[in-house]
Amino acid sequence: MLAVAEAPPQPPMPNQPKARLLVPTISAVTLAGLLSATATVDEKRQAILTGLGLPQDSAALVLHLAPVLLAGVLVPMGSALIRGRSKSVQFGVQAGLGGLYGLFTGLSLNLFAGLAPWAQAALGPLNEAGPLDNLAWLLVIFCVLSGALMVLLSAFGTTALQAISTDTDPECATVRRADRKMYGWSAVGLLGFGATVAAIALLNQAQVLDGGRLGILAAIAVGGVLLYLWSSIALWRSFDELFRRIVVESLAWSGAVATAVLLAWTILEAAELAPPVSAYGVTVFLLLVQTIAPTWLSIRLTAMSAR
Amino acid sequence: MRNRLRVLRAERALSQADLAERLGVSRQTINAIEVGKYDPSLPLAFKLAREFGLPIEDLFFDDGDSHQEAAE
Repeated sequence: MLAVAEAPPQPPMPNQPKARLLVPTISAVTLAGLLSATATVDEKRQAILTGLGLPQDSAALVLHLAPVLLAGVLVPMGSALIRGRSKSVQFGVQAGLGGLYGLFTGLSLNLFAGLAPWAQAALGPLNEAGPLDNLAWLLVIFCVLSGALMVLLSAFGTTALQAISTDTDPECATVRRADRKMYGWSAVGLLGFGATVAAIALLNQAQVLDGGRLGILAAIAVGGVLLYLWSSIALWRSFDELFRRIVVESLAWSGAVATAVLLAWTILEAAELAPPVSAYGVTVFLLLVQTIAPTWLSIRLTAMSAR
Repeated sequence: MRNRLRVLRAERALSQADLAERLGVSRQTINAIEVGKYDPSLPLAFKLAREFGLPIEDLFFDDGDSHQEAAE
């Protein structure tokens, strides 16, 4: 229901800057390049290309480069296709192009699989990731991608927002200086949080850790938490009452959900209906809940549409 | 709670960002109030009323307040 039933005349808005494509295209290509660099090629697709006469190395290069080039093509193409269209068409086109990119990239590359050898080279042999490790890595990916998005919004402001937003309301088209600062602090917090979760997951998966490596991972975990706390304090100080309410409500919701789930698990564990849960399991679960709650509340309270 | 914020803002040719800056809050807060997702604190409600030079009850009214709807 709309709080104001009448359709009021819209106030004149500041001139909407023309969407520039260079920065969003370069950003998309850079992100795609990072994804490609941390992936391994799909062996089946590589075999198809070698069957067509390409040498093994060239086939791998093609599979690594194709998603990067595709990202560079899809951003301007998507921008051209959605210009002047209705919101639902814009969502449809962007979802379609995003799906196409995801499908093509997923078929060409095993995403993030290239990171495991790097981690093993640095830390020695790792245990295969269990369900909790996978959840932790999912959180890390969420933090890194959201953090990268916040970096772009902080660095390029309005240009970046217009590249990613399908909102046609001109009120949403501008990023002010204060907003950029807020995006910057959010990026620091998300990347710090991601670093902590990654370090915890690596500590759990590493088979043997000597003092030096253990110390480095522990330092990353603690350093990430400190960055997260620092950014949280800075954000709290800059927040107005709506954003403070989001923080408080999300803490209340995540606290209630975590207590209920852990209580239920304790009862099931006592009745030998559920396996014992480790401190690592509780930590990953708490971090997951505390990530989902503010994200969901922010979307619910700050979206442009009426309830 | 319902409100006449969007109408009043339109009458004064103010964008959400302009109004937010005058009141020292975020644009998202002005939008959340306008679309009825968020009821402001009393201090912010008074600030809004002062900004538009109106008594607070001319700006905010209860969902079932037919008197205000008739007045519009």
